[in-house]
Amino acid sequence: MVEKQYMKHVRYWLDWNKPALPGAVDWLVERYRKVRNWDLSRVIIVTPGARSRGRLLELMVERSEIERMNFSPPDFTPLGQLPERLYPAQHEFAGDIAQLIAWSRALQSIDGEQLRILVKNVPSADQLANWLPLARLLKSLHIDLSSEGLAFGDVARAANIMYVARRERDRWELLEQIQRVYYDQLKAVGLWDLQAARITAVRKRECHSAKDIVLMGMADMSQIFRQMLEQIGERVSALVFASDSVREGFDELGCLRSEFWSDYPVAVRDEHLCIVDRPADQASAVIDAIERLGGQLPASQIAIGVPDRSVVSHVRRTLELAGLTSRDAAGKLLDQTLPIRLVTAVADYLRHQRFAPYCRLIRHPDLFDLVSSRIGHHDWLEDVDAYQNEFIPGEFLLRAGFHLAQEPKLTHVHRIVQELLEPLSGHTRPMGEWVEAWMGLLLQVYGQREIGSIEANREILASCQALQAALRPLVDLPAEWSFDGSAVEALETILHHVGHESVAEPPTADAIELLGWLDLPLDDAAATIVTGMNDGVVPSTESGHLFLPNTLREKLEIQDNARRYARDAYALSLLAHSPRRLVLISGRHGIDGDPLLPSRLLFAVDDGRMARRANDFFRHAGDVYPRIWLASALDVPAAQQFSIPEPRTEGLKLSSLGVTNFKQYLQCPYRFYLGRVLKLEEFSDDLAELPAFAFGHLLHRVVEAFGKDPLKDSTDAEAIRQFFRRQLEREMVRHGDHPSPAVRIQHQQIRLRLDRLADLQARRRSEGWEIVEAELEDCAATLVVDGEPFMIHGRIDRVDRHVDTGKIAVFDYKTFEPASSPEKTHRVRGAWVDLQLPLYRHLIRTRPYSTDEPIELGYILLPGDLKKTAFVTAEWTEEDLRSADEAAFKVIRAVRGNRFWPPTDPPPVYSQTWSAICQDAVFERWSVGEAVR
Amino acid sequence: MTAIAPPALENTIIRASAGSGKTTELTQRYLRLLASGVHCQSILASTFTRKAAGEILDRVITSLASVALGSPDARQIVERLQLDELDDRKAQSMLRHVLTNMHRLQIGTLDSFFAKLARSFCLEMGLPPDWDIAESRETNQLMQSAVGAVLSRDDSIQLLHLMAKGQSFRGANKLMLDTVDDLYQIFLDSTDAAWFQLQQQSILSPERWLAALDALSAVAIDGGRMATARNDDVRRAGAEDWEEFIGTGLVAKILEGTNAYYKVPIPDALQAAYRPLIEHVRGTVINELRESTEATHGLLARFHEFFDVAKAEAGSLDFDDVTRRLVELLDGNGGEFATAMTHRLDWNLDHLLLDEFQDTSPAQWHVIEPFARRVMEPGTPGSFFCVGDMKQAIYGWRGGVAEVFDVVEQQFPDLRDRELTCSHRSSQIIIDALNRVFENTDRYQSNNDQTNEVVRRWRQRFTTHTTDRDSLPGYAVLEKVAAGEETLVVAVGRVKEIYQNAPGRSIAVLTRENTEVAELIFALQAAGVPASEEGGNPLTDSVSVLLILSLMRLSDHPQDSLAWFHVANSPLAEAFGLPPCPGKRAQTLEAVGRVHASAAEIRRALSERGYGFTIARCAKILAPQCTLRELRRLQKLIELADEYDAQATLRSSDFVEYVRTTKVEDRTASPVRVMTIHKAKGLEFDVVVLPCVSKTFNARTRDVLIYRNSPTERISLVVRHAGAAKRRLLPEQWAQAHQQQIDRTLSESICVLYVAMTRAKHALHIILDSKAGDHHQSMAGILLATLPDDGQRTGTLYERGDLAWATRAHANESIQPPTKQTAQGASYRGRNAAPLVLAPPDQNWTRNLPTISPSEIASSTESTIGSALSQATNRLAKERGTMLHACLAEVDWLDEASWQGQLLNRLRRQFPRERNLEAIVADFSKMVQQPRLAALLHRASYLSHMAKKAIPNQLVFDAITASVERERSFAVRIDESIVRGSIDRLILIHEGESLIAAEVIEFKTDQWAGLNVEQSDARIGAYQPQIAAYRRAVARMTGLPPDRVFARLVLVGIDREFEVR
Ligand code: SF4
Repeated sequence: MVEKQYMKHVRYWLDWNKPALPGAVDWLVERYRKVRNWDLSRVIIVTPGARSRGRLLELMVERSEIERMNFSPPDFTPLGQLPERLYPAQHEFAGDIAQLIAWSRALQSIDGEQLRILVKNVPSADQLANWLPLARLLKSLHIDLSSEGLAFGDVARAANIMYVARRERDRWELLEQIQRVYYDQLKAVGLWDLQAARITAVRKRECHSAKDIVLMGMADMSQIFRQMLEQIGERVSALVFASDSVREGFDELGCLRSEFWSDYPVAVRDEHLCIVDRPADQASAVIDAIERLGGQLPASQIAIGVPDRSVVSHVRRTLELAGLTSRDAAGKLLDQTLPIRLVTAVADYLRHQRFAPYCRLIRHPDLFDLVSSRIGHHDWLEDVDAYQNEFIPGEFLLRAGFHLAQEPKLTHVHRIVQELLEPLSGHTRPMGEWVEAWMGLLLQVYGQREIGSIEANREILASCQALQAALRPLVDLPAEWSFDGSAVEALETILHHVGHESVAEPPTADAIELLGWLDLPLDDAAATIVTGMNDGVVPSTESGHLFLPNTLREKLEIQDNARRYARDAYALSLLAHSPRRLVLISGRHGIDGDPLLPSRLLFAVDDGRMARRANDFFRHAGDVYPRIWLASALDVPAAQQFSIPEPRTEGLKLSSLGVTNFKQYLQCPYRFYLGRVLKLEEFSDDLAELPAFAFGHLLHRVVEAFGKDPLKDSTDAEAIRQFFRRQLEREMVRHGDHPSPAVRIQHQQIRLRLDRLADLQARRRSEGWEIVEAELEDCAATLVVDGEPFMIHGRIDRVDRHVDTGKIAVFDYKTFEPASSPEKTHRVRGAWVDLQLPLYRHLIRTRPYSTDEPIELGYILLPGDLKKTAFVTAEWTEEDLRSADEAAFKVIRAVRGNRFWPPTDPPPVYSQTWSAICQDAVFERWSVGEAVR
Repeated sequence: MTAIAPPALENTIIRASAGSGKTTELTQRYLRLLASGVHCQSILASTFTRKAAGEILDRVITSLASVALGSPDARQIVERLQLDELDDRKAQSMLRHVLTNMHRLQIGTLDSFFAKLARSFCLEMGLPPDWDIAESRETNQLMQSAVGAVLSRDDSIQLLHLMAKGQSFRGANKLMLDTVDDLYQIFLDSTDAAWFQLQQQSILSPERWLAALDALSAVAIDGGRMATARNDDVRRAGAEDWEEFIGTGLVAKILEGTNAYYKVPIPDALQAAYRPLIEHVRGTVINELRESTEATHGLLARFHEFFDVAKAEAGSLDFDDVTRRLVELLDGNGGEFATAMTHRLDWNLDHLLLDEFQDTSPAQWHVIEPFARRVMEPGTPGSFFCVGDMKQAIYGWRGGVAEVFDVVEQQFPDLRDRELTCSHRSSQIIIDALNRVFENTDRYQSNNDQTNEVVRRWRQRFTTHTTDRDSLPGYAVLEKVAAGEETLVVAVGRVKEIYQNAPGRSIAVLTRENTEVAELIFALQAAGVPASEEGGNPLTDSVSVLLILSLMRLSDHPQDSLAWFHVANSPLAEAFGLPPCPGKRAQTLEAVGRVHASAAEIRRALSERGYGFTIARCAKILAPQCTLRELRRLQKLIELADEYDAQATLRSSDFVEYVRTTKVEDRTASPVRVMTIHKAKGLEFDVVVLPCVSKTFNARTRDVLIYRNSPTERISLVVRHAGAAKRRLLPEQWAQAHQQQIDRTLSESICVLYVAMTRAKHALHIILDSKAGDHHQSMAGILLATLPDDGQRTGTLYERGDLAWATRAHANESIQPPTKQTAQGASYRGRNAAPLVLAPPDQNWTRNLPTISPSEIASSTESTIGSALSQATNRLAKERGTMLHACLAEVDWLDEASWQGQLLNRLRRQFPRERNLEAIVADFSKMVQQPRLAALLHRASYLSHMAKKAIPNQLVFDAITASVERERSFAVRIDESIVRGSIDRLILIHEGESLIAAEVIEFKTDQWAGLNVEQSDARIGAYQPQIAAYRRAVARMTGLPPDRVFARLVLVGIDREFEVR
């Protein structure tokens, strides 16, 4: 079993036809057990991921308890932390933030002109925050390369040897220069670059270990780790899971030789494969595979591989609908947790202090609860919406808050928000100073929660702690590096590092686990179902790169596509060889319907099978699993069951109607019922400017004031115009000091129309028409229909009387487009569709100045086309008007009889508002006809 | 791989008619290149849609696989390829080459290639490294805020006003958004100078204008008619009604140059009086248009400034932005960048294969050109191939310019030109109808010469089509509905007949406008014909989805009584605690409060558990009442929600919007599909029904007129649109621009007709409006002029083939086996059909136990998030604690080893960066002199203490030994967890060889001074579970009975200890 290589460390071959981790446990027992003692406390074990560490420990505990051993667990060290166990660190290492700042400062120090080879838009030199994105990029490039023991200069030289474009070489030379400055920056403040320290340690041959190091299935390690381990020599054992025939495929540390694996036949059998269409079908295929296990395995023995994260939600949801529990080993991303969403929402608001992000923020459930509990009720959101609708604020300053808020509630709400956010607002300060402010916010919102009782709180704590840990370094920055910024910038600087971390879901024994691709090979589940076996995922490929394209990587002998392929070919071989039920699912299309490619690994077979598989995959659309999880297919109703709610008219007796409502009834009795009887209203808060009706109202308010002012008798157009303008100004005040620009412009548009009206009004007065009444609120009259009185009511915009003839004219202002005559709006093909103006006659009869003379009925048109501004009157005959009354009576009878059913079909005018309730655009519409019967 | 066959590398441009196998040509070219030993990485094949790109690859691979497997069609494939040497072995090796290099294949859309380029050049293009193609919601937001920014500039109002030509508009925001919608593309595609082509005109002063009017009135005219006309003109001029003034009466005649009114010559004096007025009006109109045009430009330029920067900063672009930025990048040094690009993308681009070339935009061509130039350079191994059909150029509005074809031919004169006109799709009957229409277009005479001219020019492009599917049965009909009949109704009737008579056949109803699609679908549904839209409808066509969306709306706006009412009348009400909705008048405060509470609860669920979870919950409630289709739609909604979760906001109305705007296909879609002709491109159907083709060609007028010097150049003239009458006053350029615009829309419309007709395999039904006439400037006009047999005016005007073709179709030509994708017959299985059962969890050893530490057990009962967070803040104390622990870990027994000498050095090694170690060590030395701690750490005193409590009397004290393990790590299973941790000090007591007891000692270094009794009791209590866990662990490890394991908690700071039992 033992084979001593020419190097000092030792490889141990473990048979890949057996489960990997249990085999490794055997090995550890054999090697380290002394009578009852199984002491691994002086052994460092390195595995490919946290998942296999956990499982290994579990197996060890199991073993020790079965064999009653006195067990001391080993020192599990992630590969990334191993180096620092192997050499003495002399200085403090620069953390993420410090590195970023060092890179930023390095970039800042380079001449702008020179930098233009690298970036088109060179950020302005003074603001450090502007440099962070680029710094982030260089930082990761630096880590990429130096983990392979390379400096930017090495690449520059390689690029020089290769035949590449001039500008590429220039770029690398510049990068080399920047990297030098970066190191200088760190040095100046006594910090160490972690990567550089490792390279130095290797160069000085400083690596040693007092503990044994066991590498377990570490098939792919970058240069720097390998070099360190080489220096340690025989304390290192590499456990390699393989068979005799593939020993050639590993080097002396048990890492893969890419060349060997590039055409190695992967032992996937045809019956392992499953080709399906969309992600949802992959999910269904998973269930299918579980079904085929025939209930022989418990949940914990089933593992689902999810190399492609985009299928995760589908798989989990489908499992849930099928009644199974699942657990995502990757955990929940922190940026989906409430605390991080809170700070992001706060930052979004503070960035520009506008109303829309404010409305988002106050809907954050935790902030909402906090505000509600402090003000003692939770129905304040509607006031915020109403405020938006009325004032259409764009800007919304934290300091200012709601202006003119009639509702003291809102002032109260805002005061609470203001108190919370105040410490975070204001001008730039040294970054470190914001840390406490952000933590203060979290403490206020979450501080009182008890950790133990609720699972959700554990997640919240993890999220807060991650934020705290990420913010901390801002405080600890070397004094020389302190830089100023806003609270938002402080958060942005660190959020990158936090959001992509995750918080684990608690394991439960009855859950099926979803594992990442890298976790799969060593896992020992009895059944493994792998989704997402598609190229680009397994194996992953880098196609095109800002700095390190594949050809350059090859040249530099660093992580390249061949190595990625080798890693995954080996992983898949391991999966296929160890005893387990295996299903590999490959999708034909992605979420948005884009075609996907099958994994190349599946074609690493002999020619015949390759061709057959290629044919299978590329000829078929992929299986579609037409399964419904929501209900049993056996008793699905054949016809639509959701009804359009019928009017409830018990106890309802309408005895009055607004004159404008007749139109609605004529259009559709049911929609009339919803809108006018129940007064149902839709709400939104996304108005960008005054909607049509508000635009009209505003104009009305101005002319109303005019109609009640002595100036109404003026024939001086200019005086009238001035009056209108003053009045409009006054209206504008309601919108506060910072009206939204759109609203401001709308006011000016109204002014244009009023200016025009002023001329016409002056002329009309000089023609002898005086205004007798304006904006008559709630004018009512009683009609006797079938011997019973019925009240009609309405608001009249304006009544004129001619001084000489005494003739009365009733007008309605119209700002709507198109500017049509009353005849056109009231009758369509002879039938009355609106009765507003004719009914005004009856309202006027109740006024003291009323006579028996016919009344003129008309519109004052104030359309966009100013030339069309006009007083127009309808030329209806008495007979016309009588027929209008008849039409009105009909409506009154119907309304009295509570006839609101059925809805007019097809809908009179398509309106989004009622379409959901009335099922206007629904495929399988509920049949009203049947209901009527 | 060895090369076979001489490479078919001639640089070629193919003009391929519909159905003549464009994709086949391209695929074959691809295969020939592979066969000649070209590496697949060096071939770039592009097409218009991702679906089409997928098909090309499918064909390449399945062809090779067929030959490799020796399938029945292998021979045919080889023959078509004209590659006799291609045997199964060779095909296998080619196949292996493609499959092992799948990640290097370059088969995709131009857009995706450009996106790849831009990813590798983001820095040079001024984009953030993580830029991406934007979601429409994002773009809309950015657009809205850019509009906001424009409006907030003080002088924008002035520009808006000028743009609106003095009209009062209602919404500034809306006006600006509309302008952007209509004209931003044109702005981007034009030079700045293009907007400033009009000169300021001089006009009369008000006084002189009045004088001129007076002069006109004063001209003496005999003849009532002309005088009346003159008087009318005076009135119109006074009212500044320019359109009327120039468009009618005498002025119109003068402008036309007729100079006679009702055959009576207009006297010179009168004409002369008109002149200054006409000139004034001309000046006024031009000035107005000029101002409006320039103001439009000004606003768009401002908008662009904000929008472009905002998009770049947010890193969210659309494909056009990408192309535009690439053009900018390449401008002037295309060659250099092309080289750098191939490097960064690992391309070794030698061969270009471009499909659907007629849809390439000039900008796209600018990006491709340097690559094309490289591959065509003499002496290089490269080649160029493009294929397209100018007759199918219907994407002009998207920037596609078919003339790119001609440009390429001019730029590269050596290209070999080929034309394909033989259809592999349509029956002879269809092709006959097609030929009849397009060969006879010269019969078409509309009353507009220009239209006729364009139609005739199109004729020249048309070569008679043939088909190799002449054995297919077919049917073609042109009918015109009778007066008073609705075309739509007739069309629905026809579709129903076809649907019943040709079961299983694919039927497409093609429309010109998007709006007609929905209309037709609903009409068909109502007639009992299940129809679906190509690409699917938004899920809002389902009642249950609408209910859930109302619930979402309600959660965002609890006062939305409409949503309340909707949900309250559904099974969702009960589940979410919603009271009935009695309408505004009757609602009680209490009920409203409950709605608010439910809304808050839903919002919380949405952000805590996610949309997928919450929507699934709703769906489960509604499911029992759902039909099969409703269930499918609900399931899709859940899928959508799950996908949405990654981008979820705090506003549920955003989700509603997302659902409303996302089209979701119902994959059991019926064979009847309705779509615009544009969407039908690239597809084929057994039957095509084409209603409503009578819309006039130039029905779509733009808000501006534009002019290009050549089709591939940028727009060089833009002016705001003017009505027909006003246009007469304007300079020559207008006429040209207008002409060009009509040309373009016209020829595109004819392309649309061509595309529509060529979608049909078997049958084509064209249904014309009753009003359609053969002079109409519409598709109908062309069809009426070319197809009908005799002078018949309504009813069936042309009919060929067999109406019952479907029953005559040969078995092998008949219905394709329903592909898996349409899953027509597949029955939906329900959840309960086969309940899923798993084995119960393994009693003894199950996998995936949680691993916890003893301290986690300890802290889980008491503390708050606040205290946990502030603990972390207290870092100094924590560090000190760590170091004191490290000191304690160095002590075996105080009275034995010379630990003091070693301690400092050891600590130094552990904490190399710590400066205060001496102080710590000094503290520590003092600390261990405290009496209790000292007693604990001296072997003698410890043993005597232990003897008292732990050693049975009968034992001999001298036989007792104690051994110490410091920082002893352990891992054991306790209940359903693995507990893992380390014990500060574990003392094992042996009697002789056998272990008789053990003690766990846990040191606490935290600050206890200042705590009152209760507080310290509470804290000690909190540590109990942890210590208890230690004891259990030790018992498990050592095999001692639990009562032989002792434990002590030692508070080193205040020298106290507690026995824990
Ligand atoms: S012609 Fe009709 S279908 Fe085509 S783009 Fe225009 S509106 Fe849409």
